[in-house]
Amino acid sequence: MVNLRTPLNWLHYVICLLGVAPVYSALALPAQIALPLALLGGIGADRQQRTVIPDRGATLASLIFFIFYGWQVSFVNLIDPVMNILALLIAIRLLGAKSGRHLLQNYTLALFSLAASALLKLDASFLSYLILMVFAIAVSLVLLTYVESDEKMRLSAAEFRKIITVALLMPGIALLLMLAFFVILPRTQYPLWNFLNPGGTSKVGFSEEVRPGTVSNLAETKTPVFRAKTMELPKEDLYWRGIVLSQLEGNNWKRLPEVPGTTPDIRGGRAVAVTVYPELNERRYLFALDVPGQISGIRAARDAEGVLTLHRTPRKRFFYEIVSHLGATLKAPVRADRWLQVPENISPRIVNLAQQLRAAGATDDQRFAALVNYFRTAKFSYSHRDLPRSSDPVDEFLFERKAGYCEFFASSFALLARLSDIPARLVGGYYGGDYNDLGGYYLVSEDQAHVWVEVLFEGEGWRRFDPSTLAVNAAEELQRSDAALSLAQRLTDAADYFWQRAVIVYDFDRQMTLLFATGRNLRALRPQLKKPATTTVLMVLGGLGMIVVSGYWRRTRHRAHPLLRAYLRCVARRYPAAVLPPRCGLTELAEAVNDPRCQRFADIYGGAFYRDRLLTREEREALREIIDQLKSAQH
Amino acid sequence: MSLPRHALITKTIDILVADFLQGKIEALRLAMTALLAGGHLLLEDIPGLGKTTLALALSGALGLSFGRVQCTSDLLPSDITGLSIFDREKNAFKFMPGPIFNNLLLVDEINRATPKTQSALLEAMEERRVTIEGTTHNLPDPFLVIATQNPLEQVGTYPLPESQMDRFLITTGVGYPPPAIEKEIIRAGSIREEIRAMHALLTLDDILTARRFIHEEIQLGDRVLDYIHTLIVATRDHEMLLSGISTRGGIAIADAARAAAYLRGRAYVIPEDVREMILPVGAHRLIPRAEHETLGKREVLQSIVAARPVPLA
Repeated sequence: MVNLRTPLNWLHYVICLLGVAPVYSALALPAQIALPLALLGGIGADRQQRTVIPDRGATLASLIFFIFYGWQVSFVNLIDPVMNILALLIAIRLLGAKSGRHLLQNYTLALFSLAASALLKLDASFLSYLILMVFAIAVSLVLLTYVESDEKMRLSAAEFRKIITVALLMPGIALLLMLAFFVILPRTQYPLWNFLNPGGTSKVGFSEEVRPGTVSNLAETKTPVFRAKTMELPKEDLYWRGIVLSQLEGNNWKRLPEVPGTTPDIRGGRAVAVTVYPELNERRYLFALDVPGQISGIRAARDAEGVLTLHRTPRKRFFYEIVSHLGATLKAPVRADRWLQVPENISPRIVNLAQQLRAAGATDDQRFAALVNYFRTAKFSYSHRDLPRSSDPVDEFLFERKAGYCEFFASSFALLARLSDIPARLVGGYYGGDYNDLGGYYLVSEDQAHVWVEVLFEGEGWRRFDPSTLAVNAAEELQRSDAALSLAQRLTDAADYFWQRAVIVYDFDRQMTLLFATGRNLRALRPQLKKPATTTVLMVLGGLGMIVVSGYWRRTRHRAHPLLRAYLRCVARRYPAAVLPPRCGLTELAEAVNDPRCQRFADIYGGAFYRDRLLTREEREALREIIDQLKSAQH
Repeated sequence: MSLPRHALITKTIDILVADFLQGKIEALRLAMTALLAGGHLLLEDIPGLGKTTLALALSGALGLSFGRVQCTSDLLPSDITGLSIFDREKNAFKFMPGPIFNNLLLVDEINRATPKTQSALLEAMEERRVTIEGTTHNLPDPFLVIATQNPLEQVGTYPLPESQMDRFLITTGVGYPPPAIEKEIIRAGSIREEIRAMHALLTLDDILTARRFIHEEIQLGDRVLDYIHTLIVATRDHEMLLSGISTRGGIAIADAARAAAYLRGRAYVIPEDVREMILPVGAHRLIPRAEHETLGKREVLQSIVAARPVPLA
């Protein structure tokens, strides 16, 4: 025997948890403390069938919280107070009385709380929370109807199972329908709630300026930046180019906005198509494998340096397709002086070193070789900790600490190159990526942000060079991100990726694309139909056969059904006291109500039905007429 | 659709009910159904409610020969079937047919006869012929036995075993007539003499034609067949019953339903015919469990029928 109250209580806890869990980390401390306590208290109270907070107290407490947090609500600070109110109200309800009305209130609160979580973050986990919530609430509502009619109701295990099965069926079917509707329902170009949900600006990782020496320790986060769908490539090709920094002011590398020449001149290389799904943030730079070529899927400017810029900050998730030319060289459209600029006060030790390097040879190649050689022999090491932080970090890096991360390597290398008359610039982006073989894409995270150098060789063009690889511990440090993600991590990330691809970036545009693609496919299908393959013919014939058989079956089984139903409805309305079929026969009914029209109906219907034949057209007409007569006689 | 002799037969029933058998229309219809379906009728009721009158009137109106046996415990099988008597003049045995050689045989108080006599009678009813001293004599056609028994009388009776009950197509009571009619009957007195004087309303040929039509032409559709089958299967599974309606019982229900459909003027059977006939045809075939012996079989069967939906689609 199952006491329905017990499963109902547990479903209540589960629903509250599902509603609160996604927002828990964003709640204020009082709510964070109150919720677990309230849950435990509520479970304990239910065990002993007591109420911790009486109704009046609950109302009072709710009112206080409402006023307290309602005070804080404003246009800029809307979500936080609302979430806290919801969470505290849930906590109160957990401790309060638990009649059907109260439970329903709490289900609504939990549902709102889950909805509020979508304003913070809308990822694949939201869908799983939502689905679980829908199932839990549906089952709970069904149980509630039983408990409401009899508080002490007990059911046998078999009955209980049957109820649960039926209750689960409803949300199951609803979810299937939801899947179907998702594809076709109209949707807006922009997400409705997006103004409340700006992409987070990342504090660590890629930045639009390179300033070595501003932090002493570099925190690393595994926050995803973008996912790029492409084939698996060798690690040395995985330079995701973002921004080019050509202007050096003091220790600060900045971007020179205007570069003459509109399109980059790319020579050689192997073309690779990549589809990139960026996480939403406020950056306007797009990333692509070095060297980026033609972009499609979004409107973006591509300047002569190969930097891709969005026209405005993205407001919704998007994706773009880009063709990259691996190993290609980029021609310089203007004179090289632009990339020889150096700041004025450079430490004498650096100037001294540059002079030695410049003496190494007359050609760019020789001097470059000397520079590389210097970096190799100086035994720099790659480190994220205990970084140079003086007023001249490059000097400190080169001559004292001899340890730093990519920004130190790149900026000191580029500075020395410029000082030895080799045009050079910094390139910021990401290096590497975790290939997810489940989804067939690279996941690039914030900790893979990287800076490297591009060096201009006369007559040839820009050549990519990564000075960080010259560190003594480059092999360990730079390959460290290769530590493969666990299967679980890859699975969740793949789920997130597909969620983004299939749900988040699915908008009106994609609907139209789908529609047109379907149209195109249908048109393309037509020429093929002229020479039909045997299998196609068989399939079509089989399909037709099934339709005919099912139609015949339906006719033989249920053809007269609608008329009979209409008739019975009429009779039920006209003779409310009559016992209706199938609890008696049609003729019995006619005799009971003593109506010749009913007798006629019974004769015609039974005459066909009980003689195993279908109703003829005339008979159907006659039946319809009888029904009409019965109907009209009512008024 | 015109049913052969239907008008004639219904008219006969109407006249009988109006003139001779006031208030016994149900019993009369069932008797007619049994006759048309080719089965036999068992009337279970206390004496004095007109069982004999019913049988007499029926035989008179149908123009059938009539025989009657009053059962007692010393009744011998030969008293029913007949026996050979030595004819001294011809110096040979001569077969003297018993009362069974009539179209309509009234067996009064059948439960007073000894089992030996009962079984001889019931066997003849089933086989429709009698074998006496090596010679087989066919019984006339149509052949209808109307047996009566008094359900209240227990002393000195030999209740028919269930297997023998199976041989009767229909079991029914007669019941008291409605008060107004009963008063009228009391005022008019016995009408035995009038019945004896009545003219036949039907010929033997009429009955045989109708019977042939019912057996061969009345349609029993698949749905109604399914319905019958569902009901008899339900009696077999019922928790209060030791055994339900047999296949022969199923045949009997179908036959009776056909005859009922004919009497209602239809050339096909509808579920109502089955519902009408299953109680008189099926109830006496049920064997309740020992602990439910006191239950009315009709009520059990009624509940089974009520619980099953009538086929409508």
